Amino acid sequence: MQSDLMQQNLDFRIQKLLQSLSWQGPNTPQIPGKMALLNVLQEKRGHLLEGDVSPIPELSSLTRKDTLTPEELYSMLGPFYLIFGPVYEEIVSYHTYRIEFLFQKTQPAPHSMFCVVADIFEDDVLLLHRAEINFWKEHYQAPKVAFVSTDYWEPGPIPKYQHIHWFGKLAYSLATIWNRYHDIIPQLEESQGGKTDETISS
Amino acid sequence: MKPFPRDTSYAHIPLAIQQVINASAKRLFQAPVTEPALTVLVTLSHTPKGLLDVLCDGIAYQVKEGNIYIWFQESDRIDTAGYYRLVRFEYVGIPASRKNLKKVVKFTLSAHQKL
Repeated sequence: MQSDLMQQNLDFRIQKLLQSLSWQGPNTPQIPGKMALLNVLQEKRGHLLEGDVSPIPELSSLTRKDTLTPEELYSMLGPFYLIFGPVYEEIVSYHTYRIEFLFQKTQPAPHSMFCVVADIFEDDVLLLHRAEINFWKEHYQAPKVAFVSTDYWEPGPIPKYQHIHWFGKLAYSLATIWNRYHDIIPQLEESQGGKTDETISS
Repeated sequence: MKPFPRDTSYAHIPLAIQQVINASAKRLFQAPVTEPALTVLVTLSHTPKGLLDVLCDGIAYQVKEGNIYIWFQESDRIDTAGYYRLVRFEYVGIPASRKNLKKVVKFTLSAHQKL
């Protein structure tokens, strides 16, 4: 059952990646990253067929409190869904933390690459409701993420912890997974792009 | 949404790990530091009873080969982030507010011993 759900999820993401690749020209800078992700998902799919259901960071869990379908989540999360899937789950300090991604904010904070709203659970108990997870760029044109932060604006009772030290490890994992597929985008030398020798020397 | 219950038991932590933490607590409390170190300050949500209680207040840590490692990350970069070995811990606070003295814990980590 779990294996079937994992396979359906992988099939959906592989299909969307293939579609996306077929629309892009051969020199599109995002192609190497998408190919790398496609390889990881296809490899996992092969392992599933052999009976290996062990999680990988790109498919750490499928457990969600809501019943949103992959199509609905993909429409709300976009390419983010193709990398992370519906959930990110990791054990930190002997607690199991689960981040259920909900939607991508259309207007992230200034200098944020993008912002995803998510519910965060600790051992299956809701810890932060609708937390905003911001992915910050290394510099203003970089495809890589320098760090990930979370903000919590929901009015209500005091959260369990007065700090987000526990989130530091999760944030690091999210940033590392993102960068794995954006590290290989060739960087344009934008400072000199489109300029003639004369304008550079003057 | 109901207030989140605070951990009052350590049942989620394996017994062997609890024993390592309790055995290390006395040795690491205000221990002298003789090597390059990193510092992490964390404001706790309650007054802790000891190191195990501190770690249960949302600290990201690991226990490996009898040592405790605490998560360290500089505020705006991930390349140096990781679990570093705990060499000292102490309670710090604002002198004017002594009742909060134990609510801020300072971890001193070895800069060279990273998992």
